[in-house]
Amino acid sequence: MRDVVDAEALKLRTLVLPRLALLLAALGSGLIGFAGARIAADTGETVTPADLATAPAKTLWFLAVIVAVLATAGEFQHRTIRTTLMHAPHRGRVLTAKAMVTGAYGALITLAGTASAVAVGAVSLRAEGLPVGSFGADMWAVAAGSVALGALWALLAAGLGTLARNSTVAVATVLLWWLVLEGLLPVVTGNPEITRWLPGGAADALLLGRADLLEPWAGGLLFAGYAAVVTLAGALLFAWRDPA
Amino acid sequence: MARIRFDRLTKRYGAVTAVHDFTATLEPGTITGFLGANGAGKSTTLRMLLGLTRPTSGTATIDGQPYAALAQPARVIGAMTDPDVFHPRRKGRDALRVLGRVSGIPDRRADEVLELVGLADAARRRVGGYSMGMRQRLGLAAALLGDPETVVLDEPANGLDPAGVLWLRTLLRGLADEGRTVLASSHLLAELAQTVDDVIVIDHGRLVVHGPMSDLLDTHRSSTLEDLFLDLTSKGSPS
Repeated sequence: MRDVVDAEALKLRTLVLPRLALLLAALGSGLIGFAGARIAADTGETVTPADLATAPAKTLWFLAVIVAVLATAGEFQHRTIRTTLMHAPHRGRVLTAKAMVTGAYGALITLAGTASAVAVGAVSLRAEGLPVGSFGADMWAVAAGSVALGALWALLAAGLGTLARNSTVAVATVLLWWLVLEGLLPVVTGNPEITRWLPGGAADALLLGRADLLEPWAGGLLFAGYAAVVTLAGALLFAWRDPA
Repeated sequence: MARIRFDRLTKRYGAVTAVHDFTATLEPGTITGFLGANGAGKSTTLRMLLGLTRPTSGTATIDGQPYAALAQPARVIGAMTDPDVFHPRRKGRDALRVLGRVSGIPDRRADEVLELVGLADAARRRVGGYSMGMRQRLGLAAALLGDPETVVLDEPANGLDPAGVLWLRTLLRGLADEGRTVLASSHLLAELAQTVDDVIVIDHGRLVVHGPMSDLLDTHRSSTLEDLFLDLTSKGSPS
């Protein structure tokens, strides 16, 4: 099992996109942190380290989604899945290794981006002569939640990639759901309450702790449930339908 | 020494039977040519042997075990299904390192097989920039990575130029001389005629004949593999 995980990790390390995404995450989040400080300077609003840790979360999750889709759907598109399975014929082990590696990558990229946003934001606030606030429990809670969600988003995306077997379809599904359907469903169903039960609402509950959503722990659990269902569906299809 | 056995192997896709009741045993230390027209069922048969496609019924085994039961298959049976199984943006050497990692094969073995197939100079280039023949060579390198006793190659001569085909023949003969079992499919008979010991002919998913090439040529009073093939496959088919 360890060898299969090693191989999956090496797959990501030998391609440009995962490294490029990490670099983008660090630079882009730094820019978001800087922008946060500028907004504070311009409007007089207080920006805390917890705000800085929250700001880049969705961008970082999206980068994690793209790389996770590459790790699963990309194998079908480039037909590398054939050689992968010839060397590691136990399909369950391959998928488990992919889940572990993409989940770890999702956590890593979110951690790198969050750290960059907080660091650059705090330095910029200080440069503007503004109070930075405390790097206390609330910041650590937001950061931990965001990193956990980065891992879970990557898992969910890897599962979607296994289901769709096509990167474009998998990424488009995530985007459509996230940007369009989650906003549309409460309106169409005439039930605004539904938001809290949807994946985006569950993620927001853990990250933002909003009163109209579930408790943070419940939101995190619900999102983990979504990720588990998609992963399981992908695994069943992978076991049932031959890849060649 | 690994013995490959197909036992009443059958694969149906809906109403189409790609492989029907295919039974054959490959003896160790021989080069077997797996011949058939395009669509005769060669690739499906090989993919079932390699665990990539599940048979509708019957079994394909290596020393009595199905492929999926092998702990480190690359060390037992090396295979190439087609040349387009590499990520275009991964370097040739890295593609082999990734595969080797699963079986604990050290990176220097990747360099050895790249040298063996004549790709040492292109090792650090991305596969997307490789020609068809180079990807074919990389596929062969991947098959040989685990130093396996048995090598299974689906259309290994595709995309090779005449010098490449000559090189391939020498390579296959060398592998067999080392005592390895080689199973190579082809729809182009001339490529294999000078190299193979045994011949399996498949037509419309059914085994037509299996035996040493020289015996078959004598029995069917054919002067070339091509004559033999046409003689055997024209009998059963409607055309």
